[in-house]
Amino acid sequence: MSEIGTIARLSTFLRLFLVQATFNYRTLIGSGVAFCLTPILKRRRPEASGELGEALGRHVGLFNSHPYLAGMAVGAIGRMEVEGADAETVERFKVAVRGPLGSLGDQLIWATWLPAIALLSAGAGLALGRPGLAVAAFLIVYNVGHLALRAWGLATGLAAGPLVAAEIRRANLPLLTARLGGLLAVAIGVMLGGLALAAGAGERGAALWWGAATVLGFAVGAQAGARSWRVVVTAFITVILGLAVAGAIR
Amino acid sequence: MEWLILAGLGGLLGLDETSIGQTMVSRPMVAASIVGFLLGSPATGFLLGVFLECLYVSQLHVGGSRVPDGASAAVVGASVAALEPSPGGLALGLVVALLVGEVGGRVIVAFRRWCGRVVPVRPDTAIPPGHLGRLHLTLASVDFARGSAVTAAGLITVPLWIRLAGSWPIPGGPTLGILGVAAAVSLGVLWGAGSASRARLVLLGGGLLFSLAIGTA
Repeated sequence: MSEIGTIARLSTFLRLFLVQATFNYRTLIGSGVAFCLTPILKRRRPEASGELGEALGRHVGLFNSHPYLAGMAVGAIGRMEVEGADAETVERFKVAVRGPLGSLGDQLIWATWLPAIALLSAGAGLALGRPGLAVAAFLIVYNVGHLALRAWGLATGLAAGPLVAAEIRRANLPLLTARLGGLLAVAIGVMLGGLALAAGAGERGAALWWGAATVLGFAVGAQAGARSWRVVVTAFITVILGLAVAGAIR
Repeated sequence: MEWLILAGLGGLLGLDETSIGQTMVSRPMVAASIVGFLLGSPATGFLLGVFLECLYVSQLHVGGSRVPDGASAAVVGASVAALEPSPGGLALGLVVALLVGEVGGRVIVAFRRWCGRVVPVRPDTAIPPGHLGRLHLTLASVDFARGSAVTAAGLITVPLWIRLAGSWPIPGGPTLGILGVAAAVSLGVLWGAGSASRARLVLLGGGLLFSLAIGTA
C-alpha cells in the first residue's frame, strides 16, 4: 500500500473525472481507465524503459463501468500492478468486475439517486416557489453522494486489490438502491403534486381537473412503460405546434 | 455576443454530460435556470427546466444507449422561454428543447462512433507516454465544440419561436396543465420501471400529499 503515494492517489482521483472523455462504442471507457491508471503505473515503470507504454497498452482495451464506480476498478487494478500481478490475472479480474460495476452503478445512480434528488428538489422548488434554493439543494445533495461514492470506490479498490469483489458484496449496494427506491417514490409524488399545483394556480376548480389529468397521465405512463415515452413526446410536439400555428392563422 | 456566450455555455454544460465530471450541472433543471438567470428571467428558466427534467428523467444514461442531449436542449429552450416569458414562450420553448435534444442525441452518437475510430483499441500495443493525456484533451475539446455547435444551431431558430409564441391562443393555467400531463406520463414511465409494491404506493401518496400541503399552505 505504501508504494502508492498521496500524490499518485490524488492524481488518479482527479483523472477519474475524465474517465469518460474518450467514451466510444468499441472500447467504452478502456482508454479512460488506462489514462487514470497512469500515475500508479509510473511508480514502478520508468517512462524511458518503455515498460510504461507497454503497461498502458494492456489497459486500453474494452472496459465498462459506471463512471462513479470506475475508481474501484482503477484502484484494484493499480494495486495488482504495483504488487506485480501477471498480465493474465489482471485481465481476468477486469473481465470479472466490468459487468457488476456497470449494472450496480446504473441502478444505484442513474435509475435511483439522480431522479430521486432531481425530482425532490424540483418538486419542492415548484411547490415553494423557490427556484434558486431547489437548484442549489439539488447540486449540493446530489454531489455529496456522487463525490463520496467516487472517493469510497477508489479507496476501496486501492485497499482491497483483487479482493474488491468481497468489498462490493459487503457494501450491499442493491440494498442501498432498494432503500433509495423509497425516496424516489416520495420524490415522484412530490413532483406530481408540484405539477398539479402549477397547473391550477389561482383556480380551485381548474386545479382539480388538471390534477386528475396529471394523475391519469402518470397512470398511462406507468402502464405503457418505456415505449410510451417517444409517442407522448411526438404527440406533445404535434399538439403544441398545432395550437401555435392555429393561433397564428387566427 | 449574448448568443456566443449561450452557445459556449451549451458546450461547457455538454462536457458535464459525459466527458468531464458528471456533476449534473448539465441537467435540464440546472442548465435552464442558469440561462433564465443570464437572460433576466430565472423563474421562467427554472419552470422550463423542471418540465424538461420530468420528460428526460426516465431516459437513463445506461451503457451506450442513445439519450437526448439535455444540456443543449435546456439552453435553447430556456432562451425562448426567458426572452418570451409567457405561456406560449414556455410551451414552444419546451418544444424546441425536445427537438434540439433529439438532434443533439443523434450528434452525440455520431461523435462517440468517431471516438471509436481514434482511440487505441488493440491491447498489447505500446502507448507512448503522454498520448492518452493528449487524446483525452483533444476529444474533450471536440465534445465542447459539438455541444456549442448544436446549441448554436438551435439558438439560430429562437426568433422564429418567439414570433410564434406571440400568437399563442391558450391562457397560462391550461398551458401549464398540458405541459404537466406530458411530464406526468414520463414520471409514470420512471415509476413503471420499478417494482410494484404497496409500500412504494404509500410513499408516492405521502410525497404527493406533502407537496400539496406545502404548496397550499
